[in-house]
Amino acid sequence: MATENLDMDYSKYDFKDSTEMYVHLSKKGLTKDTVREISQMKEEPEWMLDFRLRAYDVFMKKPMPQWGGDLNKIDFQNIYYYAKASEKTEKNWDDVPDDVKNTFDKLGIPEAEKKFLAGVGAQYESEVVYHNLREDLKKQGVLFLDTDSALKEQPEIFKKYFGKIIPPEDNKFSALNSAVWSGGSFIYIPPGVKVDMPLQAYFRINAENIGQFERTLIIADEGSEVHYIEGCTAPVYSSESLHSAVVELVAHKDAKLRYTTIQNWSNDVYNLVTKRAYAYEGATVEWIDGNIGSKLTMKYPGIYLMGRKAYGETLSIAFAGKNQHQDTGAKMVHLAPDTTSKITSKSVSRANGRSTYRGLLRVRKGATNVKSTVRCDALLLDDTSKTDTYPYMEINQEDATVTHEATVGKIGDEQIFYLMSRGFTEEEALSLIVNGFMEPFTKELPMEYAVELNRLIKLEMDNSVG
Amino acid sequence: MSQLTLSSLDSSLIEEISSKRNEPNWLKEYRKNSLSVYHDLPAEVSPLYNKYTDARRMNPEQVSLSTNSDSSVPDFLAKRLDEIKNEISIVQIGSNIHSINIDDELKSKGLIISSLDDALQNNSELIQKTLEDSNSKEDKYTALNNAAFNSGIFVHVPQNLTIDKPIHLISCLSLDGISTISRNMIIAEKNTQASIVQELYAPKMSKQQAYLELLDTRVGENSKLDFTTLQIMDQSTVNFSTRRTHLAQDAKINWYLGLFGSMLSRYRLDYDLDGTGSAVNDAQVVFGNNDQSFDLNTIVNHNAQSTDGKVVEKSILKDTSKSLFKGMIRINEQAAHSNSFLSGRSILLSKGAKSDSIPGLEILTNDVKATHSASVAQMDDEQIFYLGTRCLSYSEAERIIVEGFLEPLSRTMSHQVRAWISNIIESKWANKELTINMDENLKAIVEVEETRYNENEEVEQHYKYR
Repeated sequence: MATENLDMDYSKYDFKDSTEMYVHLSKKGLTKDTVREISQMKEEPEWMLDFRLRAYDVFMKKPMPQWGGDLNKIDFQNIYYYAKASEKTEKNWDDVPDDVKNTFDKLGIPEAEKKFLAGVGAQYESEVVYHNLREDLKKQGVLFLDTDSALKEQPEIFKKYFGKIIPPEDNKFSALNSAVWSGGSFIYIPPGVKVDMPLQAYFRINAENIGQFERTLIIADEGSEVHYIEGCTAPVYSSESLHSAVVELVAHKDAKLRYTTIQNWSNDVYNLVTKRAYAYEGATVEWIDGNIGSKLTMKYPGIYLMGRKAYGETLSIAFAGKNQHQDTGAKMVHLAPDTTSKITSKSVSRANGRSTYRGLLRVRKGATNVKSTVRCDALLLDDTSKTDTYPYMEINQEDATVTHEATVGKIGDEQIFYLMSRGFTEEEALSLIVNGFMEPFTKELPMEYAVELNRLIKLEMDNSVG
Repeated sequence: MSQLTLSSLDSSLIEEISSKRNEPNWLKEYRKNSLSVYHDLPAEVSPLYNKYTDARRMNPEQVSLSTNSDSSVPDFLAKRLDEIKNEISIVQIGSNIHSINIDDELKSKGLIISSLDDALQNNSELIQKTLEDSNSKEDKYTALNNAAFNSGIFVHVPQNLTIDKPIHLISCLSLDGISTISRNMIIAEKNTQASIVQELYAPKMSKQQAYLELLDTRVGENSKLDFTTLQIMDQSTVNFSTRRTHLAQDAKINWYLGLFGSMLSRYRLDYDLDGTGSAVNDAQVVFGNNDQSFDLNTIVNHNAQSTDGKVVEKSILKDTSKSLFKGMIRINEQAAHSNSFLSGRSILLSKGAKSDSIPGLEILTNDVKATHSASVAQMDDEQIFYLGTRCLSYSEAERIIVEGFLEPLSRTMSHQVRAWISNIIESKWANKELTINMDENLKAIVEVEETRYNENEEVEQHYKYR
């Protein structure tokens, strides 16, 4: 099949604003002073400054990871670590500055809220600018704040969980995030409360060379239920931006927690994210993870199954187009008996794009009667696209049942031929097959997101037939 | 004669080995270069596997090396040697070649089976080329063997020769505790057919004795080679084997590996499918008890169009034994229409047994089919229960299930190999000494196996009498 290498049209996201409207923009580069400055700007308590400085030391000490994608081009001294667009977190849409509002209008945030969303937090550069939460949820004690406000307003819960699931020492990029974090979402669901609609946040990098380091912490207390969705986007710039988030989830006894991400960073963003969840007895944690954009994504959402009968699931798709490398995967650590997990990974590569699945499945000694399945499917659309699979399975317990399967293939000519005989063009047929391949993922998304995702895939697929 | 340990290996021993054998200067240089590579490389070169290696279980303090070793035949081997005295064979005791037996007819047709020393005199060009093709940098133990080999077996099958009877390679460690570093080469020219059976033995020793092998195999155009290895070394020893096989156009190799003995078996098998239409079929059976450890790494490189790879590993682990299954399918850009399959399956029979699997895929083009799978599971209680209702005791049921587990694999082997393997497995269940002597027991098994799976014959007979 002849395929022309055409860039995806990112112009629809290309609505960058000038950086003049920033109330505060830190100096480029990372030093101890930058870290102090950020902490001071945010009027943080002493322990947080200590935490940041500790993380800074860890970051400086840790070597760059030598596996995965090529990280050598990141210039840590050429990045703005903190930018603040408006004076305070707005509660009312009308109070948000006009230029910020314009951007979000294009993203459709207020409409989305009007229609069905329970709460919306939008992060513009480093600070959260818009936040709202439905009244009835507020009354039940649900907390949905940006992480900075949570530190001030809910210091007790905050300190109890912050940095406990992913300590700065975990890896180089969790250390970086811990040193300079800013913004993100903080959610607390009290025992027994079931949030019936998804909570949503939107993240956006706007200026060139700005790093975004949001920090998300979600705690679902005993027997509660919540679904959180985040979307990410950035306009196209010629030099690389860096996004390095840390997401910590805690699902207490019998809680249900689902976290959905659709990542569509422009294809010059390094997306290096650490995500981990603790699932206690009987809890369910699901990561639904879509990776469409970015230059290089390295993201391996993890679930530690800490209590009996906990269940973890990771469902991810990756689409690697021209010059993209999606190095994604999952990590499941079975620490308790009777725990089960499931990993499904689907990837599509085209036009020299490279998709990598890298997974770790560990069953600790004493974790009896564990069941786990891993399934990876890769689709290669042309002869320059690449795919790798590196699953690691460490089984230390006799009675575990663990399987892994992976297949790589191309789209069958017969399938295309059949669809063309039904009146589709080759391009439509291809796009239809890819959508069908992705279906197990899209059907887990709320309708608006599924529609958006299908549209994005179609956009990526356009011009894929020469 | 000086004797030293692997930990103190330096250029003086290399010098001694080399000058004692009157080796040419290029070889002396070659050994020295390899030695420096050996000292530089870590135990595991690939960043994918550096956490997952058992090579460290070899204690270099205990592995003694020398320029010559005891050449007396251990008692347990005498019977076997007597059995094969009329077969085509070469017997290696320690670092000495004990005997070589070739039919005069085959000798006149040009079949060469000799020690590496003799081959260096008679076929120096071929040896030099093979050595130069071997890349010491790819593995620490490749480098070690290239630097310090003190023995070797050379088999050369000339063009257009078909050998009906198997060639036996028998290697046994010497009784004085000296380790063998063997540099083996098998070269099958084009249009040949041969089968080789390799048996590895070792006497019981109080300290670690090692059989370190580096085997280069080259299968010429349109040739077919069957290679069977049965390793039943004593559990006080260690066995390292690094094997690289090059396959030319339409060449085919069937590789059967049965690992039952030694404390640590580290096998690295590289298949280079260099010629269009070449194929490899690799079947590995592992049965471990006590604290045996098996570190297996199989790499299939598809470098040409329409190549076919199939690797199936099955391990059965008792007590506190451990297996590491590492596999990689690499399909390069030019290898369209390739088909590859890789699977690793383990049954854990005891609480302390452990199995890690890392099956990998690196696919650089589409229009290929690549599948891998891995699973680790325990005995199914329901199957045991069912067999219990059929009046089988627990241990009988266990054995039947294991037999069934291996069945799809043993089906592909010749009845002789199948009989050997089931005999060894039986000895292992009974904790008897592992042998493949033709005794009453083995005779009975061979009789059964001879008539098993002969579906083709049945069809033919049926046709005949219709």
